[in-house]
Amino acid sequence: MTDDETVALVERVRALEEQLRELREIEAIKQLKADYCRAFDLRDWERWGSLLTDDVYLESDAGVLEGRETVLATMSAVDASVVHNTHSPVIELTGPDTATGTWSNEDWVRLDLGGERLAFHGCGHYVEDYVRTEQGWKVKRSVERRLRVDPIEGSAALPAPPDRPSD
Amino acid sequence: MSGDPMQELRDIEAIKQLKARYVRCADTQDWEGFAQVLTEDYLFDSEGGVVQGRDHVVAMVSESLQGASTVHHVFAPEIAITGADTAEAVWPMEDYVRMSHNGQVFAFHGCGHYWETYVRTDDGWRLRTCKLTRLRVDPIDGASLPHAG
Repeated sequence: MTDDETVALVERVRALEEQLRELREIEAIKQLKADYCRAFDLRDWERWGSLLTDDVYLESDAGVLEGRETVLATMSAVDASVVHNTHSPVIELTGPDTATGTWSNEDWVRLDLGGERLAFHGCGHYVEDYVRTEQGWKVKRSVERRLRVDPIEGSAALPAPPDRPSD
Repeated sequence: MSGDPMQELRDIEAIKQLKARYVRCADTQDWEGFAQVLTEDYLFDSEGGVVQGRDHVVAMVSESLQGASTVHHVFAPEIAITGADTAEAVWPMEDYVRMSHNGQVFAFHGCGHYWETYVRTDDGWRLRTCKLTRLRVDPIDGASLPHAG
């Protein structure tokens, strides 16, 4: 192999390594989001909390929550049954350890707010930031933007939460 | 058919992101962003008829959805790279639509498939054709259905 051929081959391998890294990071962030939704819906707060940065920022039509401890204390105190289905990710790597994403979201929610019962089906988008830590990718910022929210009727009582499947 | 497996995976991911932008821009009524994912000769074929040309489609869709609320979800794509710069895909879809036309309110939840072709341009992958076929359409809260009968 000539020197030129060796140089070309090394360049090709480096380009492939970079492309492979990009695809793996995108897949890792998709899995982070899947884990985030599943842990939240199963109310596995320890796992869900492990997917957030210390300074996580969450914004929705319910307001703003900042910091992992505050977020966890607030979310775990709510009596709720929730399902979050996410679709159509657009993940962009913005640096070696940073990324942004948009997701289509659909949720079914039943809440008991001190005796006031709410049940709705909502659709919208998440706009998010991620950072890679030594423990892998984490959610740093998540902003929910609603497209529509429809009430669910006939919800006289909250259903019993499902048993969590054992790992 | 792509002989380069890395390129094939990258192209498939790029087309998934293209489709995600298409539905997000439509639902947030970002017509500039919507136009950017289409080829100039884009052809859209739905129960509303066939419309060709990016400018025509954007004008028609943005006008008919003025004041409307739409949500489009797409799932489980089958994406095939058919040439160096061409691809096709089928996407299962569902939508929630609330719109009015000539004073009449339509509201429905629909399910079906998008059948699409794509072309790679100097600016990346673009959507060239999209045909929507329906499996079912259900009225929401007793509202009328468009294109009934």
